[in-house]
Amino acid sequence: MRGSATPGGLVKRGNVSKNLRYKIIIVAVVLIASLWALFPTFRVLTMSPEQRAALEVSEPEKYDRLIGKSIKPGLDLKGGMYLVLEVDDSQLGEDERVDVVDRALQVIRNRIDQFGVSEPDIKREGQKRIVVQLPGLQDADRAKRLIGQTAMLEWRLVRQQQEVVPVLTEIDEALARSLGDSILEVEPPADETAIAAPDSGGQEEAAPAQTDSTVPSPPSLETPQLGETPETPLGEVPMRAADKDKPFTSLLLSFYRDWLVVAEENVPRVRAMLARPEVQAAIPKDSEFFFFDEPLTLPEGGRAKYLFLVARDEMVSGSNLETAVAQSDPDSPNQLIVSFQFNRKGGRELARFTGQNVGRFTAIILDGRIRSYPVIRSKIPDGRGYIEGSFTDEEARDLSVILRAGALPADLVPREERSVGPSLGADSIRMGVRAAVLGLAVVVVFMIIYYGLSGVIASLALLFNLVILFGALAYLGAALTLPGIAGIILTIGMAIDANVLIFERIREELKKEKTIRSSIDAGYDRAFTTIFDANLTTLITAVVLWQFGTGPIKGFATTLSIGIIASMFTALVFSRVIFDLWTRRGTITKLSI
Amino acid sequence: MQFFHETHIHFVKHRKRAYIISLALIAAGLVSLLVKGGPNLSIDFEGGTLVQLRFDEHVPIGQVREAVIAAGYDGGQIQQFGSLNEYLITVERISEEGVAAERLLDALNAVHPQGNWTVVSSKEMLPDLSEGFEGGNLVIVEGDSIPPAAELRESVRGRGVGVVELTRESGRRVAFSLPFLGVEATAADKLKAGIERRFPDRTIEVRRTETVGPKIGEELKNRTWAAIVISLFGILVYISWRFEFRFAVGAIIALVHDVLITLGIFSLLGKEISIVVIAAFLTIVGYSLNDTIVVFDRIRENFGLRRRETFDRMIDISINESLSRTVITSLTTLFVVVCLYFLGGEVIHDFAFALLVGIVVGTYSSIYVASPILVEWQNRIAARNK
Repeated sequence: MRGSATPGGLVKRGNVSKNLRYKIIIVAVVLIASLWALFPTFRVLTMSPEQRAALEVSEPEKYDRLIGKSIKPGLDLKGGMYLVLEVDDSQLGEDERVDVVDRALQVIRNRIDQFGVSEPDIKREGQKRIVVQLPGLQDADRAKRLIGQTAMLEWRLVRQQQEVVPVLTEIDEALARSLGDSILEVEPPADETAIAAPDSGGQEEAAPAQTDSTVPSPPSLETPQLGETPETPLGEVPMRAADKDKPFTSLLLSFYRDWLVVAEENVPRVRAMLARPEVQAAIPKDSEFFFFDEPLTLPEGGRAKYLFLVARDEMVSGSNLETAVAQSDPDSPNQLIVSFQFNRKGGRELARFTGQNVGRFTAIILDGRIRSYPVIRSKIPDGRGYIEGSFTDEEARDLSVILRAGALPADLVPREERSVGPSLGADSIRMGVRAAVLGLAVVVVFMIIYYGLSGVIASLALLFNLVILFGALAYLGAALTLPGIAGIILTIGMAIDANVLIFERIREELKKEKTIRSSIDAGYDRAFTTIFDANLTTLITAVVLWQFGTGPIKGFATTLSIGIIASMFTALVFSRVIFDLWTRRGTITKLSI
Repeated sequence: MQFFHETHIHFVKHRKRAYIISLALIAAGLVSLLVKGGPNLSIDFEGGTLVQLRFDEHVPIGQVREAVIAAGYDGGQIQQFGSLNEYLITVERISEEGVAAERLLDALNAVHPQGNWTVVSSKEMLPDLSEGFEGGNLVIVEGDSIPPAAELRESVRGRGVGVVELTRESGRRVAFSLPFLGVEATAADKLKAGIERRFPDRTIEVRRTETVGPKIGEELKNRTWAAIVISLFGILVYISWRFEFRFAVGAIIALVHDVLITLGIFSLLGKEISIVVIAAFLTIVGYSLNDTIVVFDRIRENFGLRRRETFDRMIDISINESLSRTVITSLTTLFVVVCLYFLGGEVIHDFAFALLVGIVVGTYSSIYVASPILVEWQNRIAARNK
């Protein structure tokens, strides 16, 4: 608005000086590089989901390259899961501890790879931690199960009826001794929250009954009438006087083949009794009890569960497993099974185990739960076997994945878990974009009103700044998070600062009745150190934030740092070029600033 | 257009008044912090669980509270989040020493049933990472015929109870130091289930869950302190190098001033300090610094140009000369932060709020705090030289 017209002395009229030409080239290179870096993002955004899927199938390498070089929404925008796991090596020996985290990492990678999450990020953090990030994941529970399962597979012998009976007697005696008459004076239950069975495994309790759901009623033990007893706190068992000396067996329905049938309503009580120390002491050291989790329907009505006494010593371990596949059961095609194949060493063990125990029942136990209880019909010479157990499609596939990927070398303890649903992420994007666009509009309008044509230059510089910022994000393959968007919005506000500093200086110089050209020169020169120092200190905090921050904070620090650097470039180089081009002929009598 | 033509405001003369305002604001914040026993830290630092739920239609907050209490979380905080149908439920971490003691007792009874084991005491020990202590649960048990420590350790380990440390306290007493149990997201699952049970007819969408264990939170606290200290140190070194040491001190005091006031306002309003808010604090540091440096730069320049002016006057001139820029930049930044605050969504709300406060306070401090500190410094030197 102010300023006087004098022909520029330094610049030849009508010609572009060498210095300016270099600057134009630099600006053009940066602009082209940024746009080039943004091209994959543009491609991905303009593709329809179908086209994207088609490319992923037809040219996976090209697809990966494209995705890898485009701006990705972070977990909080796309939805997904963030999990921090700590490897519990307290149960391991010195030599096992050395590489336990790396082995666990490998196992988790294998499992996730086969799970089919796109762009998983699994990395080690610090001494004992593993950070798993699964963007776009819908079913967090399933993923947790898949990651956390130790996958200890064991094939063990089921104890026979004649071996079980004496154990039951022992348990009854032990309980009768310790509980005595007190079991008769038990109070009615206080609240049902006390029911926390020692081994719950409860997720599958609602699953439909197993194939052989009709149980013939073989000669029962002394079977009391069940069903009317009220729910009772665990471990305290009200009972009729007649059952006083058989507190345990009175809760059981019958034997079926080699194992016991327990009415479902009694299962919690049986579990509680089994957890009692005196009962544990009464059970031989070489055996232990397991429930089969899936309930079955009794012919006379009501539901029940099987209780197995399983050998601890006579078994084949799954550590020699070679491969596992989910497939449909050749005998009943609607059923899914998971078949597996042992390696040579495991195959020999299996051959010996099956050879010695033809006709006996076995239990296939995975992570402490019985998955199936096949009978050994004949010796298995080739190391092949299968697990059945009314799997859904998904379960069978997951189980085979877990078995194939191998067992985890140690327990993983979850320390932190965050998940964001896709709808919240979509909302965040929508709101973030809205805030950014409006913020940008307000700043642009303000700058143009306040600084006139120079404000237009500042606005162009701001847009250029954003192009560089997004280009850099794409080039780095950085994920855009909600705090990242906040960083961009903040950059919009702060990036204009460099231009404000320059414009204010130019105005001051113009007031001193200097020429337009020399005012611009002086304005830029004077503002340079200020811009440099002010931005560098901000950059220090941004870099520290990046160094110390986790996930979301890193995203914020990244966009802020890039934004600061880009704003210095656009203000000092880009807007300068425009000014120079604008005023180089020296015909402008009044600078709109 | 121009807001400021030549201004001649006597900032230095009025600095005492500014000190009083600053001190009053800081004091109010500190009192609030003292009364409330420190800042209200979010689960990021304290550990705990957060669940964000959306119902298909409005549900009264009282009913949500009932469901949360019925799920066993009396201390759960419920707040409406964004829309009328959406709630944020926060549950602080419940100490787990009881569960840990129970598991240990079960293991002991299973392995050495003749011991007649009882739990004497159990308590949670928070991590102290400066000493390399990871934290956990300390459980003291009493029993008959205690086996040797090594055997005891191995046998409970076999039952799935890892032992960090084991000490024989007396003839019948043993102290077990046990590691923290995993987060397992049980609180999140229970809350979800509890809400679903209470509102069977509603469609409920779980939009976000977060569960943080105590160790992670404690580590984050340490890292945050480290980040703050290191960035302040970096700034101190940089400004001392580019300007003078006293400028650096002035800048740092202004920064501490800004963060203290923002922290105080958060405390007064009962807002939580989450990791994202900390990021906002550090951004305030960066922003306020930016502002301060611009003024300092003017002072540095004027030192060379106007040697005849008194020190006070020079500071005044410098602040006045950069006033226009300070206000314009603050305005443009404020515009976008206001957009972020009102349109950015609930998740980013506190972050935007911290920035809003910080920008106002930061602009004020670069004018009224950082530069007057230089005056105080100069006066003291002058007094000593007399």
